Amino acid sequence: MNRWIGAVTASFVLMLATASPIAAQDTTAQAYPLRVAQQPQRWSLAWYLAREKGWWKALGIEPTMSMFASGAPEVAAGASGSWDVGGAGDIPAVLGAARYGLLTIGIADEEPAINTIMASKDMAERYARDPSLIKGKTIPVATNSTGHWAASTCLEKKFGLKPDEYRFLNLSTPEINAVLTSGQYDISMVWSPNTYILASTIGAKVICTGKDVALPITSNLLAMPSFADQHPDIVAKFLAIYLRSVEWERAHPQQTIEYLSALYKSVGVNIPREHLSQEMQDRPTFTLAEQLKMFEPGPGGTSKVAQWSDQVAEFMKSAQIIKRAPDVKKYVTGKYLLMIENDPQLKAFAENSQD
Amino acid sequence: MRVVESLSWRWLIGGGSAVVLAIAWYLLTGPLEVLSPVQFPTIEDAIDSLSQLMGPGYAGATLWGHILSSIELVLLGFTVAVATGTPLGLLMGRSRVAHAYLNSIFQLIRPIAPIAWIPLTILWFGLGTAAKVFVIWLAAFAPIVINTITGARNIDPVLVAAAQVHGASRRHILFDIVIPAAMPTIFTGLRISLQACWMVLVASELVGSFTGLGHIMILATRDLNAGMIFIAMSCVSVLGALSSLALARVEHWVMPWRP
Amino acid sequence: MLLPALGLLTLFGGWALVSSLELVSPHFLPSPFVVFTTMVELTREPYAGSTLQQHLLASLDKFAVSYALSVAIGVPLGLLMGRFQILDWVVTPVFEAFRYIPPIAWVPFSILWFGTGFLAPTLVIFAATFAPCLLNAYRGVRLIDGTLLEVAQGLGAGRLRTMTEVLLPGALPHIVAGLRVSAGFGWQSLIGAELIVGSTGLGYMIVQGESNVAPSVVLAGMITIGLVGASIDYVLRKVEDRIRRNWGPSGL
Repeated sequence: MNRWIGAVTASFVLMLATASPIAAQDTTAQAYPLRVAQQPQRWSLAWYLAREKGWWKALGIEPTMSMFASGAPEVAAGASGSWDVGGAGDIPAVLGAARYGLLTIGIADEEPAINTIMASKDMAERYARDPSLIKGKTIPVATNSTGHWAASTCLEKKFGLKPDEYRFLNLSTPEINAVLTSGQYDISMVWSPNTYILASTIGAKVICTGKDVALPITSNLLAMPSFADQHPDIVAKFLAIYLRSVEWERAHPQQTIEYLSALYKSVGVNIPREHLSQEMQDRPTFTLAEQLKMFEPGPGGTSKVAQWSDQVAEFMKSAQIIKRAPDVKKYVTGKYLLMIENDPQLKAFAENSQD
Repeated sequence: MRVVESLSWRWLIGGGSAVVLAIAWYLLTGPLEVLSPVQFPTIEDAIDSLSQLMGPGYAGATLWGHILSSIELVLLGFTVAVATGTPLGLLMGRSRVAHAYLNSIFQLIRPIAPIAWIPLTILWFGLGTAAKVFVIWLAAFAPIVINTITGARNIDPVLVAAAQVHGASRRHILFDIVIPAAMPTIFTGLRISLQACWMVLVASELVGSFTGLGHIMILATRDLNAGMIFIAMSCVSVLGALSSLALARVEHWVMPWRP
Repeated sequence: MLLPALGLLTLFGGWALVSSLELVSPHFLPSPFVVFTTMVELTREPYAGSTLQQHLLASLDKFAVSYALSVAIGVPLGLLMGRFQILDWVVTPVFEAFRYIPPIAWVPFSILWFGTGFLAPTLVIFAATFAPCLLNAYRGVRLIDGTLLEVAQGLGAGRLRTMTEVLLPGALPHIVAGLRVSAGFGWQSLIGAELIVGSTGLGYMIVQGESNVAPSVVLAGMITIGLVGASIDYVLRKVEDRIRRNWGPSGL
């Protein structure tokens, strides 16, 4: 009689043992396990390159990458402390700063040109010619994103619409692609690489970008505050790896496009070549020297990045996402860039443009 | 006497463990700081969120607006499932031909989790009521059909034969013998199906919607507003419990002879 | 034999016809052949970082861990609650408070507590599978003939022996029925969790397919989910039948 009970119990124990996540992980000797949050975005290329070129290993880091569809779920996941460093748009970055003191330690890229409003093939020109047609429309956006910011500013400044003349619908980016393809909505917020996907599948066209309305949209490099307190050296190394990739990309533009294509393919996104070079052009990245300038306090005592972040916070207050702006002095920090600048070895690493 | 005594003990102990739960909530979010306010609301946060929802509203509507829109979807999906599932179940339960033909289709589609249909239904129907009702219907349909088949099959054949001998029409047999006899099993199916409705409702509202309790949850997650999540979750839970109670009431009303 | 085959033919024939006549655009519904070739391709070429098998394994891994956890906690707790009334009284209010929360509604908190890694979907699946495990074990014990227990105790069986040799076997048919229901709920919620927050697994693959407007990938994922769900159910049904035959009271 006990045979069956034994068998059932044993099989569950076995299931537990074989399925346990700990068994699946192999520990690399000595390398520091760093948890990195990324998105299917151009700037995640840096970490892809670092793996290919062995830069992580060179600095003794063993990264675990987590992929997020956009910044909002990434910052939500950050609340659980499930990643240490990463990248995200400046809106989620400031949201994280307001809620749990998330640090902005560098600029991943500049991207006003790729945060857009797209419209269907048939409607694009008509909307562009007569924006009043947009009145009363429902417009899908991924809320709390840079795209959200670009879209509402575009609607206000370029098309002259008031917030109560249209309706935003919160969707994740995969769903936005789906509803535009099915023809449910003919106008929406879209950012790259989804712009390219929609251009090639349904011939959708961009009718406004963040660049048209001069928004300082960036994606930022981030660190969890408690992690940065305990491991400033690791954060600086993480930043150095990113900066090295910037140098390498500038020195090898052709190869960079190959790698970007491979990166997008690895997340299931297939983009034609001409769009990829467009992507590189639209999203400039910055070297150590350039970033140091952006984080350097200007004549008014605040750095460029701090001014941008305050502008982001203003928008978020007006959109009622946050009640009061977090203190830029606390969460925008050039400290880790300076750590690299002051460490000759690390500086040489960050400015090395070769393999 | 014994019963009364044990009942009051039961309430005392049960109430005690509810109090312990509340104290644990207070301690974990307050003095002990095990859960940060971003991860789980303090009792104050929850009350703040509730009053915001009741007053100015959140995520595009007040609490009542969200609740009504969620209830509407569940009722629609559930009703359509009952209206389609019971006749199909009766047909498959009483006719061998129909069962042989339809069961293979049914068995092939059924194991696909209804929630997995959500991306496809968004492509097909968009994000409006139709897509959500379709997914809710999918989830609610299977338990109803399966239980109705079982109920319609397990009827004493002697009863049916006797009715036939006395010249009862097929309609009479169906309405006076088969359906009443299958009723208890059908209701088992309805209970399972109602719970499935709430589950799928939340999933489809989380994925994309204009209003509804799931809509509050996903926006609150993006805003890192744990109080709102908590309130929306509690509402779903209370509504789920109330709808189960209501169904039990209906069951009692339809079959007064059952305890 | 003929009729079931005819049924399948109607299903696939209808699908093939609708898609080949382009009654709906291929962006919405690719033909069964396209879906089949996509499935074969997915087993060889990685999509969204992994092949179909790897996505499947990732899903099964999460499923197995949380299911095992539910069983390991739910069944013993249910048995004890059935046996000891005090425990029943203590646990029931807490249990009832959580019972009507749909498992998917745990997704937001699971993100805030555990991020999107392994533990987040695990919490959601646990929420789905725990209740049926506990309830069925509880019911199983409550339905055991009281005299059986008295006899066992009269014969001098200790608490532990009563538990393992009277309660557990007596309740076993119910427990196994609960395990089957619970596995179905768990599998379904896993997919829901992965759709909304996943970074691995079949649900994640479907979302990526949706994102790239590749409905054949979405359908391939759905079919895999169906096949696995059906297999899990099949295995547990066999176990259930077997146990009913060996232990179940006649007529159950």
